[in-house]
Amino acid sequence: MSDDTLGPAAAGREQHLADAFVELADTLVADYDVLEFLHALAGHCVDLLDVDAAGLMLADRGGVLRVAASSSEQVRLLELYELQNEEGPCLDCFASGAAVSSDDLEDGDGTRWPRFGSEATAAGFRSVLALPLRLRSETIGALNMFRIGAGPLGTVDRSLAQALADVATIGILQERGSQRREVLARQLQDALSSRVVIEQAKGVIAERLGLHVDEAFDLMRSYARSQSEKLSDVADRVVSRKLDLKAPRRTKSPRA
Amino acid sequence: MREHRVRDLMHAAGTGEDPVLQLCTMAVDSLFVSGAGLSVSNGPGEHRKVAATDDVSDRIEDLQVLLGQGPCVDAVRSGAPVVVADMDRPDVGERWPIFTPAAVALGVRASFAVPLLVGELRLGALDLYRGSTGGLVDEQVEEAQDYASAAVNVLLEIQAASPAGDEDDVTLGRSGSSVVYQATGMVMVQLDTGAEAAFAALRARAYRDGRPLQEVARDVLERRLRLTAAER
Repeated sequence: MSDDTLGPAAAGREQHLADAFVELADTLVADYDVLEFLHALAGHCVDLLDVDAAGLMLADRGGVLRVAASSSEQVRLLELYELQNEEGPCLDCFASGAAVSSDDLEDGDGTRWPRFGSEATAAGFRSVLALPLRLRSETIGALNMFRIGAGPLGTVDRSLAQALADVATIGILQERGSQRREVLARQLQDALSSRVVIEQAKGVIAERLGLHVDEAFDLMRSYARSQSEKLSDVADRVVSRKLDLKAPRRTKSPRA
Repeated sequence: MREHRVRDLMHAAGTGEDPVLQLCTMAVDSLFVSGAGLSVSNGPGEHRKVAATDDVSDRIEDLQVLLGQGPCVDAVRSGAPVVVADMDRPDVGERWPIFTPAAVALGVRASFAVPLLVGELRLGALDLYRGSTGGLVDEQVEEAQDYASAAVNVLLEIQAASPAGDEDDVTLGRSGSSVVYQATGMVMVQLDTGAEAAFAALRARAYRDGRPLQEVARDVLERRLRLTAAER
């Protein structure tokens, strides 16, 4: 349990940790690449904590878990194996939103994850810890850490790992939030543009056919409905003179 | 921190009234200005007035939408706040030759605008005016920006909640600028030209006659006025 006491390397590690957090925080400010960010995170876990490999899985927009980053090709394959076989600590952790660990994969966990357990030990790992990427009730993925030796990860390392996972979660959610805002803002602007074009089209039709603008709108709307076209697309073609709407046939004659 | 305050206020006051208008009113009270207005913009000629606290602000929004110049237009174009402490200074008249005298005639003596920003996107601007001269200190500009970002949040919430196909709503066509867009369509046919040129012709006609653009647009719609090829 040397991790829980301050050893000679502790001061150096603290500086390292501080640097890692600053780097992670920095990448949150500028527009950043999520995968690059997670890759850096996996690297920091291996550098800073008493773990030998780390990987991150992230749920896509449909809620399906995917391998997002890993500290080595070996871990990437192991995580893919988890997904393919639908068993393993990362999946359990994601499903429960809570930490999942095995202190000795060779002993006792053969029943929990029979296929993953043997695959991981074949790759040279004895113990594993999966921590959720979670903010409040929302779990968006999991951080997987592997060790060559058996036994639990020290409590200091474990809470540091959770802190790194939390930073990652906030970063990812922030990025997703800002993407959504930009999408909504564009929709708002598009709606404005189509409003302008629809009003112009009313004027074009009104002038062409000697109608009131409200009648012009009715004509354009019935045309759009009969053709199952979007009103704004019809308006676009009217304004660009690609579509010439015909005068409406009166259903009632004025004398009737 | 101030954004939190704005959100709390919104919560406290949030009872069915237009939330963007409420934000504008809060900005007026807290920044000691005479009025505020907010427009969403999509580039030149495509603006939509969303809210205005008083008649003068309403006219300021319309003027900028129609003239394509003024503090709001500049704030959207630059993405930065615009602070004009004294509308009578000669460089202001040079900056906005048509907007400035029109705004001064409405009683505007100081004019400010902050952009509505969404990432890199500029969604519009919050306009503030004062009936007396005097600028805003940096803190007040920051506070105005907080109101602007609160308004962005509200607008995006509304957008997220609105069904995709509400372009059928005919009542949307009743606003002041709709009349101008409709008249632009008619002038497009009258002059056999594109939307931009038709809009410019309409604007030029209003300017020459010394009349508000919306009045001229209404005349076109009511068939009291036809533009001829000579106005192109």
